[in-house]
Amino acid sequence: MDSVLRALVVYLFLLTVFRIAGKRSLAQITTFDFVLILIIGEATQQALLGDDFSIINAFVVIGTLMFLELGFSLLKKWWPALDPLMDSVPLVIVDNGRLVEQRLQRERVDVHDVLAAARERHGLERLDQIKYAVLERSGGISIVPKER
Amino acid sequence: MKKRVGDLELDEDIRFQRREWSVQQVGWWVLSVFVLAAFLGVFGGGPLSRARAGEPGEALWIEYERFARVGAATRISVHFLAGSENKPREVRLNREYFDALRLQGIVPEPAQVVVGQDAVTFRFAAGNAPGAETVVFDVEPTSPGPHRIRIRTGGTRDLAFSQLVYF
Repeated sequence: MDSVLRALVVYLFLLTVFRIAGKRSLAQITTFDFVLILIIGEATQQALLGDDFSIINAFVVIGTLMFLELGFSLLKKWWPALDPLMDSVPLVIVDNGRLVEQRLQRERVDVHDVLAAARERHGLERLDQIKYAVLERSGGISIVPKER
Repeated sequence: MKKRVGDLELDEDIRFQRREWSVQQVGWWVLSVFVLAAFLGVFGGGPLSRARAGEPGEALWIEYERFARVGAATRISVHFLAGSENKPREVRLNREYFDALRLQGIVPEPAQVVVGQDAVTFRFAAGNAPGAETVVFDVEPTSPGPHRIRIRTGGTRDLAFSQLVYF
């Protein structure tokens, strides 16, 4: 019972913290972001397992996490309002080649992030070649180039 | 219903997004308060957690942590005035608290431990001279929640204090 509660509490805590941190928090922008994920995982592991290193305890924890993940995705189907609450909504940050400054600022994204995404995915060189840029729920930036 | 933003078919919801931003702002404050509180010792191990029952120089006074955590060691230092040489030195701890922890170590080692119905008595070998003595208990709480601790030595009344144990 203890392990199920641990998994539930940790799941909800992490969900809350990452929703507070915003869409960009784990978008792996830099190498250090990746390192940070590893460290958070390491800290979480202790809380999840406690001092019980039996295999069955690991199974219980994994089972609980999977159950929560599946349960919430079913719940989102039945109750669509839950979806944005848990996973946020996408946001247009370049609209017809024009940066929407206020949104960039609030999401802590800058023009260089947009340009980097444009270079990586489409080999674009300048901002005026971008038609739309969308900050996705995953924290990634997707680019729609202008038609030439 | 298909939502559109310009030519994009996109499920954007700017009203929800605005609300999310304000909630996030509140969340950042909550997070800062949480970290600051942790730094100050609200979850154990800081200035807000250090506590004392009784006053130094009295027949019995105790240093302990107001906040402790399950599975994390915490220390209780019992200071008392030992009586004459042939009187046994003992520290009694209430049974409920004893049942909610794992003893990691006691310094000095007790010569005898008696687990009674409502108290556990630790008896120590007689020292050389009467005077101030200290017994240090290193304990690891095993059950969360508020705990009432009562400690007494040979000739004193119970000294009671509380400890909150986080899960």
